[in-house]
Amino acid sequence: MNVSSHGPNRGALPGGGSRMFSRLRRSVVRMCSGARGIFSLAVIGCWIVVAVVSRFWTPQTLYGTDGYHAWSAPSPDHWLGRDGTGADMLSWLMAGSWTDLVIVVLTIVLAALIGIALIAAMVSRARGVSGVVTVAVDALISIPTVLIALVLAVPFGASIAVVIVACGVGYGLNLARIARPEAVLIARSDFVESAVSCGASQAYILIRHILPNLMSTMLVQLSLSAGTVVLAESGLTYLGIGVPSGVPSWGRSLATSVRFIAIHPMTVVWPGLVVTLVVVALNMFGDLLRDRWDTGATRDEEDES
Amino acid sequence: MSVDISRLRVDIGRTAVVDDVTMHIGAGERVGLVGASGSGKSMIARAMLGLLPLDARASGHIRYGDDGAGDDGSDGSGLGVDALACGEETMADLRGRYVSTVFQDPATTLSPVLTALQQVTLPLRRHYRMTRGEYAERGMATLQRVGLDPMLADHLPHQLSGGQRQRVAIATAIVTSPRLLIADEPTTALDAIAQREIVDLLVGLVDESGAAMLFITHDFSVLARATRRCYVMRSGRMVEAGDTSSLLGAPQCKYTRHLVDAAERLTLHGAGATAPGADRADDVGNTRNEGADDARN
Amino acid sequence: MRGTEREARPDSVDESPLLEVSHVVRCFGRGEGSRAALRGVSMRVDKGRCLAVIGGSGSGKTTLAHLLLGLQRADAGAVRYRGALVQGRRSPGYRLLRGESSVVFQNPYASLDPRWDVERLVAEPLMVRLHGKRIDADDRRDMVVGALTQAGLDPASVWGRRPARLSGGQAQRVAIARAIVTQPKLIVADEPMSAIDVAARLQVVHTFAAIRDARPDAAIVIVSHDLGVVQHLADDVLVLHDGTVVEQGPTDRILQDPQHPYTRELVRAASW
Repeated sequence: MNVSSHGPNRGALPGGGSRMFSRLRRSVVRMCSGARGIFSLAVIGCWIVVAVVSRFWTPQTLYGTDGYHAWSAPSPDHWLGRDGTGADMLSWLMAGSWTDLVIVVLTIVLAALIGIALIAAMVSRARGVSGVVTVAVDALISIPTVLIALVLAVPFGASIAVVIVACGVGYGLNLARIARPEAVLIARSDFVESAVSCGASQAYILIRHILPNLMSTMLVQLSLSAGTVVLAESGLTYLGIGVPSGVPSWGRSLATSVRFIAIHPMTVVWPGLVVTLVVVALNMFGDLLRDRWDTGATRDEEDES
Repeated sequence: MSVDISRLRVDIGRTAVVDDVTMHIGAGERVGLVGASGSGKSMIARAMLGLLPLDARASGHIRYGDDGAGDDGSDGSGLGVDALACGEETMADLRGRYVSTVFQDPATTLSPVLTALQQVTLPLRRHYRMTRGEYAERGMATLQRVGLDPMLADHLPHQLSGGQRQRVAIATAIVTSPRLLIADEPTTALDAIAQREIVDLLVGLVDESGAAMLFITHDFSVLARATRRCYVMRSGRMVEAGDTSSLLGAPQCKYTRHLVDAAERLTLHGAGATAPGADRADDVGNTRNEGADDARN
Repeated sequence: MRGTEREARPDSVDESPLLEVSHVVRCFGRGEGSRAALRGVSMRVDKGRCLAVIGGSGSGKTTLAHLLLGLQRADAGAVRYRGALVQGRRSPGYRLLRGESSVVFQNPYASLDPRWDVERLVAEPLMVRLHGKRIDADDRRDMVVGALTQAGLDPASVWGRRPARLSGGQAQRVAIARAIVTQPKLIVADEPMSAIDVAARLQVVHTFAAIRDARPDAAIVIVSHDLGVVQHLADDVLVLHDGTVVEQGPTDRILQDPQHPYTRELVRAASW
């Protein structure tokens, strides 16, 4: 068939990927427009900036312990006061934000990888695979994250890696379990069947059709997990199987102060407040991402303006 | 029961999905509402039932009245009510009791966990106090009226065929002897044979009980069978109204002509009496570019 | 006139059929609850012909369409494409069929990925089917434009749209463009006119008529419940009832002189 003889010439048709950047910028602008967007982006932005800054500078040296001034009240030198070892609260919280950022990012990456691998197996057309994996996920999901961390902590000791692996595995399983019904629906949809009948491979269908349509569910679940990781880090550290002592983290700050909550309540309030703010911001951020993903991609270019 | 819709306008966001629509359904009259998908015809039905989407804003009047007795009486029988002005309580009382609806796809409108009989007695339970036996008796009688085998009364929707499911949905709509039946594309999801049976059934039931019917469809060939008078909608506006037979015979508006033409070409004529080869490929091409799909653009 | 045109088209009775289905049985479920969707169906699809498979809901017509495409396996009987057995993903017949057939589904909004725009949707078969040979992006664009044009759409006006912004008729014609872009030898359409309104239905009928006339080699199978919509398209009609073929023959003969009571009922239902 001589196709080039009819139809408009190529110049008449709108071009492809060149507007990726402007779309991205528009997305960010749009997300900032609501109060929730401003709040979540501001909190997360501050967190990242503080985390990076703390690698080079903190108001006081972290290990500047001073037994004579333990639990001292806030002062111009120590804005949030000192903890039980006499170290500066603010400096430890700042340094802790780096540790928590690393933990959150790596855990989410690990959870996403595990989740996607499991989802791929669950929607696989290979006989037996999906059934076995589904049952396995249902069985494994009943093991609490704390238990996984405890088991890992026995040979490896308390470390950041234990928190990341335990949470990553736990949340990866969760993600797969929650996304499964929708993934199965998409995998059975007409448009997937249509792609199959074109001769598309399973990997192609997973990457091009199933994951993009599953993304809104995954974004919400992952952002929820991101918030939970911050809480889990605090919990595991308190139990002594998370961040080792001497390494700054919000959980460590909480763990050292919480026993003295009756005497020095403010030393618990500060890390608690930071954790709460970040968790709320992460959850809101996930909702915003999902809304953007849902409306942004199913609309046409001209609707966006 | 009669319905007077005057200057109805429904906005969703910045677009008017229904724009300045005025129509009248007399007591006991069968009226059609025809238009392509997205023309706003279902939105009129939803406005009549007080079931507009939450983000929709409506203006105008939808008055329920009774032609015979003068329209002064707000005697609790749903008469003299303006569907856009009254509260949710009044509308809830009206729905299913005086005004019933049959929707397009019975596979999604029937509850998947209720048997046919339970489904049919739902509106009775909502609106009338009776004993358990009376409910069942009335339900069974209604199922029989719509021609459903009594053996199927304890079947769940997925155990029934499409036509049988639509019969259950119709039975659910007529069990309270409503005065107005809104049929919103009741045949679209069915196969050709079931379509015909369901239209004939609806017409028979409505005429027998003296109720009015608003039949919403995109297919003129169905209207010819189901209605006497009809309204044609396009992009939220009423473009033509009149007797169904005269609209079919001599459509005035270009859009109506297009719809009538489409319906005519896609039906067989005289069951093989006239040569169906007469209007084949040559003139199939003629209407190709008169597509109505710019309605959405 | 279609009647004379039909005679003028290549008569392929002597040739071996493009697709042959013999005594196919397909059941769903196991044991007591099992239900036979197809009970011994035999049929053939010839090169260059347009065949309509007509039946009510539950007649097994969708199952048959899936079998024709190799999307489902027969429990008994055989499906042969150009003489090669289609049985499972590794059979030579399946590979041949997969490379040379395409499908149009009932609901265009469900069969087009909601996140993709028209350009990508129509180009997809080219990208996945020919991933061995690379097609130049410009060539691909030309092929997409050609397919859209042939499907009766103006490429420039639908190019960047997503399915939600297309009307039913437009969306279904995008699905058809997608089906013809690879120049298949067999096009199977499963109820392509049922989910869209009457005006759009007529457009889709025109589109199929245009494709049938533009591609004399391609075989088209249209599955439908409505004799009315296929009267302008089909050369032959096959009536399926309860999993068996009750009648088949040339369209004119079936419409004017239906033999089986079920066919007569179908004819009556399609004429208002």
